[in-house]
Amino acid sequence: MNRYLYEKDLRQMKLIILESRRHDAVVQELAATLGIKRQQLRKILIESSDMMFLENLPARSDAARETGDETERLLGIPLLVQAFHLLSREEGARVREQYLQRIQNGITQEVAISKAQIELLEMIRS
Amino acid sequence: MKKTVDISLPVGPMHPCFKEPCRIKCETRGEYVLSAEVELGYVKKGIERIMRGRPWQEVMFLAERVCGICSVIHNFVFIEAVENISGIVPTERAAFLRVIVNELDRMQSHLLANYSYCYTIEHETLAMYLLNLRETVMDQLELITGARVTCAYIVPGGVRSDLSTDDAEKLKSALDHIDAELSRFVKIFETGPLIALRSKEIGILTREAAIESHAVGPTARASGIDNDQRSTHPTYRALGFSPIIRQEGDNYARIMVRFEEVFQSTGLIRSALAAMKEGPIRGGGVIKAGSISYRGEAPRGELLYELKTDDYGRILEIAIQTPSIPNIQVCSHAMLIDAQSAADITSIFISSDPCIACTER
Repeated sequence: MNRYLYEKDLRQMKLIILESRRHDAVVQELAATLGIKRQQLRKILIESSDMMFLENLPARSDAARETGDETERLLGIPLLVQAFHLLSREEGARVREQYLQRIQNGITQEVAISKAQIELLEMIRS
Repeated sequence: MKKTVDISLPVGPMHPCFKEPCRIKCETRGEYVLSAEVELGYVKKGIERIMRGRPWQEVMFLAERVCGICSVIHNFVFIEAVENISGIVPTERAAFLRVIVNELDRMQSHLLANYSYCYTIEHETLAMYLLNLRETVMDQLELITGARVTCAYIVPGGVRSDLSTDDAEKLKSALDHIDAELSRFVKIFETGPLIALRSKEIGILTREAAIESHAVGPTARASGIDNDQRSTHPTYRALGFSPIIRQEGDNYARIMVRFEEVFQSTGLIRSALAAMKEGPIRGGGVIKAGSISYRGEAPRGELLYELKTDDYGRILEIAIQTPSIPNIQVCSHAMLIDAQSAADITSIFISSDPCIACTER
């Protein structure tokens, strides 16, 4: 037996957790930072996290918001790395460095952010 | 949970050590725990949805039904949240009476948590001693509020009933009895060699993991985190409150923090009784429209009520974040990992004082 028979049933319950008021606010915040729809982020979270982890997302996000510098918070890296566990610390640091490099090379902030969003999504989905 | 090995060890949902149903799915290599996942959904109440749209007078009773063990703090935080929205200040005597009842509730909750732990590690004698002592605390709660649980004691602007001089004397003598008995029980716990084998350096929670998961209450304070909402509460500050912190981060530290907090609670109640002057116990007031995010310190840790009211005192929006949520999450993702024996799974889990009723509010 390679997997639990009831594993698929948990998807509906995970969605109910993510639909509650505080969870929805956190998911919307990160979806806006990544430039994707919240439904897409919900799907990623349901596939990657267990129920208890999802239940604790608002508290974890409160803790994560107190960390990181201004650039990291702009890109949503503390939330992705510390609260949501969707990226490793190294991946977060790499995206930050690339973003700063682009700004130094004279690329506008808007373009640099959209490129960083694409990189972050690729890392999350890989 | 992705399978990594061929040995899966489900614990629960019905287990002799659990007060409430939940399933811990563990992946083990022999006795060694590789990963763990807590599965919920057996007792979901949907109480936040039931509260929405109802007047505060109804929500007040629903709030304390979130949890049967720590019902007073739900009443406490909900009422203080609507008071803050409406600019209502409780009378001085009522503020002290609230602290007394809240601390009695914390004492019974901590004694029940430590009973559960002792029962889990098969020290039934100490467990029964603690459960018996809890009855003394429950009697005091009944003496003041008229009920053992779901007391509905705290109302906007004050409390429901006063404490007479005779009852205050009975309370003081009960506190002396609790202090004397508990000192004896703590000595048994501290010096028991078999208790130490099952508790010391078992289920270690590092300070970093506790901060990342926003662990709260005795679970966090046993890992060296100075986090107690009572430190910022005006009545507790007037009583000179300071949190109890230990550094070990293991099962032993979590149980000892709770024991020490019971002694601290008896001290706070004595201070409140001494500081309390004669006066009114109800100030009254009208609930107004507004929104707030209000935190209080439940026995298990930080309790958050986020709510929005209208001009008629109805609760338009409400979200409750109970302390068991972060504590169970950190337990399954940090404390249970690398446990050397499958027998430690239940003791580590119970040492974090999980409340499934709170989590599945």
